[in-house]
Amino acid sequence: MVSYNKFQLDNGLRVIVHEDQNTSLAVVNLLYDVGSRDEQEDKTGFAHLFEHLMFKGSKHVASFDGQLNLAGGECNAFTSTDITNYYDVVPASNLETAFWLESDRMMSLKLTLDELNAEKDVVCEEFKEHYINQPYGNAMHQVRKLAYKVHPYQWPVIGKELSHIREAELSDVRAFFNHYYSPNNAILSVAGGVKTDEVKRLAQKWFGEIEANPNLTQRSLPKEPPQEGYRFHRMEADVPVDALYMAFHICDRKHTDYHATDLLIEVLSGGTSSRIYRSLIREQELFSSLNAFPTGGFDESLLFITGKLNPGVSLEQAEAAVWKELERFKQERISEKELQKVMNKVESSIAFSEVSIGNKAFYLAYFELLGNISDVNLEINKYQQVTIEDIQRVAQQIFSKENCSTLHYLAKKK
Amino acid sequence: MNNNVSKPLDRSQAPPLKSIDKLHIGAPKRFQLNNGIPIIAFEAPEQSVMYINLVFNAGKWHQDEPLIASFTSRLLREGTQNYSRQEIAEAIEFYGSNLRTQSRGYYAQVTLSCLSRYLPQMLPILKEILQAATFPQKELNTILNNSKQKLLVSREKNSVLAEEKFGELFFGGEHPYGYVVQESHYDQVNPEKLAAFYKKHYHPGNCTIYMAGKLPENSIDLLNEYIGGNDWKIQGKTLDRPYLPLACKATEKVHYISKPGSVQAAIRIGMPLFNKTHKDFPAFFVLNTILGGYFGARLVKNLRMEKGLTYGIYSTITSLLRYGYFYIGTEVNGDQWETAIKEIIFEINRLKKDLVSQDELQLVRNYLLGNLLSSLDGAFNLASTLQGAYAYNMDANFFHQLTETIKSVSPEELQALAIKYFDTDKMLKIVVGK
Repeated sequence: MVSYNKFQLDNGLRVIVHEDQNTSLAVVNLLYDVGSRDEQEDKTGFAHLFEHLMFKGSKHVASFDGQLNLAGGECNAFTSTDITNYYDVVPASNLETAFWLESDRMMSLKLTLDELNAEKDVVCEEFKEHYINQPYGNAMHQVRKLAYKVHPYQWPVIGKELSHIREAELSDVRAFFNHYYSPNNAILSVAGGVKTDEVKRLAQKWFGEIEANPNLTQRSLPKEPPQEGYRFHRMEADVPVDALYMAFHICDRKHTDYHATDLLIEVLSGGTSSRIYRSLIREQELFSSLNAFPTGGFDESLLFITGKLNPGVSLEQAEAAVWKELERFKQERISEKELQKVMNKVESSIAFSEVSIGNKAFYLAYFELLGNISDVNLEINKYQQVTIEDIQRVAQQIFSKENCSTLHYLAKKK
Repeated sequence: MNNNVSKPLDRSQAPPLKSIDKLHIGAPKRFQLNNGIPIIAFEAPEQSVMYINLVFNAGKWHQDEPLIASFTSRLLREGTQNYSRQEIAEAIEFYGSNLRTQSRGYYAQVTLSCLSRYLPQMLPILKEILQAATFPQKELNTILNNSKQKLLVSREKNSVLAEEKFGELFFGGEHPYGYVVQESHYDQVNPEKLAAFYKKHYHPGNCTIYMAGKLPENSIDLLNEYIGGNDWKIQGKTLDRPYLPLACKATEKVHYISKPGSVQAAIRIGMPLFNKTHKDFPAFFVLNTILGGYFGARLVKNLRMEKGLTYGIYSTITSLLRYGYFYIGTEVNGDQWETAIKEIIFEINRLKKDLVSQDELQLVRNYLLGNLLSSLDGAFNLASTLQGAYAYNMDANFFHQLTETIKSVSPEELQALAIKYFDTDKMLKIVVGK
């Protein structure tokens, strides 16, 4: 259970406070409602590049990190397909420093061409480190492209290709900043050893005078039409073992089937007692590793099933065995015990994640953005309402050939 | 003109800072089970979860053959006298609990995390794992195979190859911390060897328990009932093996490993050092932070922010119970690894040549104090941070001393330390690139 207070400034900035007097720290979490789904298809990777640029200093602050460190604080950020999220952890007694720094970079970006160019190099090295100079690093690029034809989820957050990052220009950066980095496109969440009144005063003092962007519009992204047939791609690369990637379209984050889908994935692949681990890794010994996980976007997302094959097993054989497990879900109800198990897992995961004030600050902002902050404490109930029939029904919708994109990633014979 | 308008905010003026004067380090509760196992407990009654962490002197330092310590650890949950692998997994996961077994350098850990109210249901399983593991051949075969496959994949990564080579050249290929795993090592692992290692190292005389979180009122009674009895035989404290010398040879040469097709080069540069029990550790810790221990560090500024050569670079002090070493790790643009090494050496030598400015030092002091504050915040952080001192037979005083040094160490002392310990000509240099 996460308690909170919420208020809004005149410029549209929403502010949430979670008081926790057991800690001497405070977390300031600033979530901007912009992610890689908001990019143009010929300028991908931009939201993430921009996240890097936000650490380059602002009008009154030469070094964001330096000032935060001086206050005993640390910061970081991440970009997803849907959001860009910044957070600062500071001793609660130096809370105001985080307000000063975050408000200044929301208000005014200071960036030279040299800085932009150096940071483009850094992001290109990040791209290489994680997606090129990495076995199977390009697989997700391939699967996303296969599964999405119109929705921007077809490219990963890092971007489609290095050239998009290299071509980013200062004017693009400024336009992006002016449009998305506005108080009415952000949610500020503060958790830890803080008082709501003090947060109110600081929010008004530091963020109050930042102007709203009157031109923000509701995003209207192209909806991915239902897939109408099995999609398949085969590729070869210099990797040691064959790998299988399967992707199924699943519902969006606000859909009533979201929680049933999540539990279905947990029954399928959660832990070493799960179905695919038990059957395909331990009993049939087809895979050396195998996992199922959702991409977790706000819009209609993907359920990935990915695994590495054991020597002597063909991709056709491995894929057929996965299908057999998936068919079981459609034909048979899961047991009461399986349902109870994944329910306990959900309860435990939520309890463990709420140990951290950083997580709490983020969840509050996340649920506020999703539409209703009170949902932060209703998640567990929503999971509890899921029935065995719901899980079977969702499985029947998801696990069809027509809804599946498959990549066979072959090890090049040496 | 409206005279009531308040004075505009001066944004160039940083808000006043409060410094961290003294760290409050909460004291744990201590208990002892009937069979002598010490328990160190960090309570957080406001939580609903807990963990129990059993630490044994059973890391690879103690093994006589490759892979034995890690596979003993991995097989603990693969079958016991009364439960199969699947039954153990079901019993733990049914309650939303998580069991982790890890083998490290000197120590091995068995960590159970659960909703506190389910601790009673977890203990019968934990008892079996600790006292009656059977190391079934079939499960061992699967785990060996899967682990071989993982090794093949991880060796496609330049950073992994660099790390392996560094260990081999630093400790020596025969050293428990330096050997490079070969395919043939897997074939030598069998249930008998694992069972023998288990019997010798996983017993009450060789164990310390850490607990953190909301602990049920009767937890000590429960622990006594399941793992505190004398039916769990003490095998005598593990005899420590004698110190094994390092193989590290001073040389200016760069060890270059070619991995065709690489677009990046992984670099490791390092040297032997003391561990955290040494009197120079706290000041060196500050020195390392300045060089490459945080995001504002000199190496990050130079190679990432100014030159865009890398996504990340760091320097670190690795502390082991019997050893310590210092190294720098990074992955850089494949065509520019020579520039990267030149700049790394430049930054190390700059610490010897010039005094650190008061401004830079003040920033690092404040950063480190804030960092310590975070690492001691809440029962879970406190437990893992203090465990890091207890493992070296030290206590909270280690952190008080560290705090004092962070606050008082002078630029002159840091320079003297750099001169005393850094010699880039003698450092091991590994590059894995195209």
